[in-house]
Amino acid sequence: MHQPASSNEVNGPTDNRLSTLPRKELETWVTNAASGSREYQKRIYEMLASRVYRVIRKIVGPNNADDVMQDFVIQLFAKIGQFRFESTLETWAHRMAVNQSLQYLRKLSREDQRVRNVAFSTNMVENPKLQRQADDAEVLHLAMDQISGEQRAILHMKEIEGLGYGDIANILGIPEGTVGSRLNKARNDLKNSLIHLGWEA
Amino acid sequence: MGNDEKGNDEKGVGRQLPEWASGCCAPLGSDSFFADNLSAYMDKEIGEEDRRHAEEHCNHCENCRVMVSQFRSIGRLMRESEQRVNTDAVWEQVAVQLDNAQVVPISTKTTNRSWVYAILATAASIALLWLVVRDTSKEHRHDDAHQHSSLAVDFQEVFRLTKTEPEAAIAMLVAKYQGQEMSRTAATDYLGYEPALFKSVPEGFARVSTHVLNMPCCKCSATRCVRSDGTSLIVFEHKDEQPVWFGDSPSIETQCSGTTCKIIESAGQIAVSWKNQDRQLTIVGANDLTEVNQWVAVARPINP
Repeated sequence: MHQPASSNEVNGPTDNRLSTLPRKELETWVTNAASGSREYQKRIYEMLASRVYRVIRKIVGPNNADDVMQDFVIQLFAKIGQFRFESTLETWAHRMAVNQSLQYLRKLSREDQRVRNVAFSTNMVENPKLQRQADDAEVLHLAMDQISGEQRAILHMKEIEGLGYGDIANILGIPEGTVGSRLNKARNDLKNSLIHLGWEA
Repeated sequence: MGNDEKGNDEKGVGRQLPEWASGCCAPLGSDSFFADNLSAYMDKEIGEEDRRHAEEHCNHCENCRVMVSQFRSIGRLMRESEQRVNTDAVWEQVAVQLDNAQVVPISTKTTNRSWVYAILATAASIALLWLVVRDTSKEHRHDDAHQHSSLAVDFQEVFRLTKTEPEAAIAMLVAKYQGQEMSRTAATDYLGYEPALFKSVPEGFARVSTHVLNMPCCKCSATRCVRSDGTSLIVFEHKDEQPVWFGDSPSIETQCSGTTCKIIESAGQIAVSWKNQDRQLTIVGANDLTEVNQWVAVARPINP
């Protein structure tokens, strides 16, 4: 496997990767955090928060991100004593955050989803000019809403975090060889949604 | 990703091409490979030979060139649209929750579950709450031989009813445990002590009714309280030396307002039990730990 493409990191504290910590120091952090040390819990939080929050927000949307993030952090520190250093703590936590976000989405009732989609479609028909005039970020947000949470997750990990296929597979718990085809599908579905909204590459 | 990538089981010779590839790449040979590996090519996740092959294909296929260009534009759009985040506020909220509930997993089984805030969010996992008590009052002190199973309370049903049909929950308990509604004064006389919450309830709550239940092992007060939104919880209190246990249902121990509490969760509601000197208090139908902390802080023992 080749190294992932670099340079598509977004500015932010994602540079402060826990993986840069020496193993012994990380063990100290984890042990103390598992024992309830607020100081070490905060250290770990500060290392993980920005990156994890972004992927949570991408999957569940900005309105729900805070709630899911809070639940994630509580769960993280409840379970951090189970971390066995078999992967990086970032990957372990990231997997937990993605799973928790997708689980949250699944809890949304099908009816809510249907109503949301109908409302979206109606809006499209009645306000085509408005949609065309929307700036790219808004259009992207709307288009993202039309693809699945799993697709948002994999696109975020690739395009925003710049993760390699191996890391993505590890986080999503899927075979590494399927990452490319899933990205193909996610990119194509997102592209179709964007074009439907009037986006031009 | 190369020719021997692990994803071959998702491909296979003759597989139908993605919709976007139809009309440009023939479903045979090298073109099919490119259709499947477009993202891998873009993401530099294929080997050198495959990369050269892909580039050669793009030189001859305008559709695929456009597709690559569009996919790359989408990546740029995502990165340019990504906003900075400020997670400080989330930490402040989380820290309060962590301070309120220092969650201590009490068994491996428990730690494998996720709770509504921490560990046990397996809402369907709770069937029964076993309130096992040993009464220390004179009239029941001799009754050590009763079996735990005979003291079972259908906790799931109480959970189900407390919030939406609290009167039905009380009626069920009254029927099962020969209970009767009493004034606070009468209940105090009957029990031989004044339940802690008779003096005070947390702000935002109001007492609605008090019943005395004759559980197999002890007399127990059951007081229904309502929130400002009209929803209810029920507080049980009895005099007892033995802590409540929850059978083999998942539970956690937390420190709430400086007191060790045992908590069980079901259907988005919480039951919490704690010991107050010689009293055992149990709340069914709490919304969250903040509420639990309020109750534990207020329901201090009175006239022990």
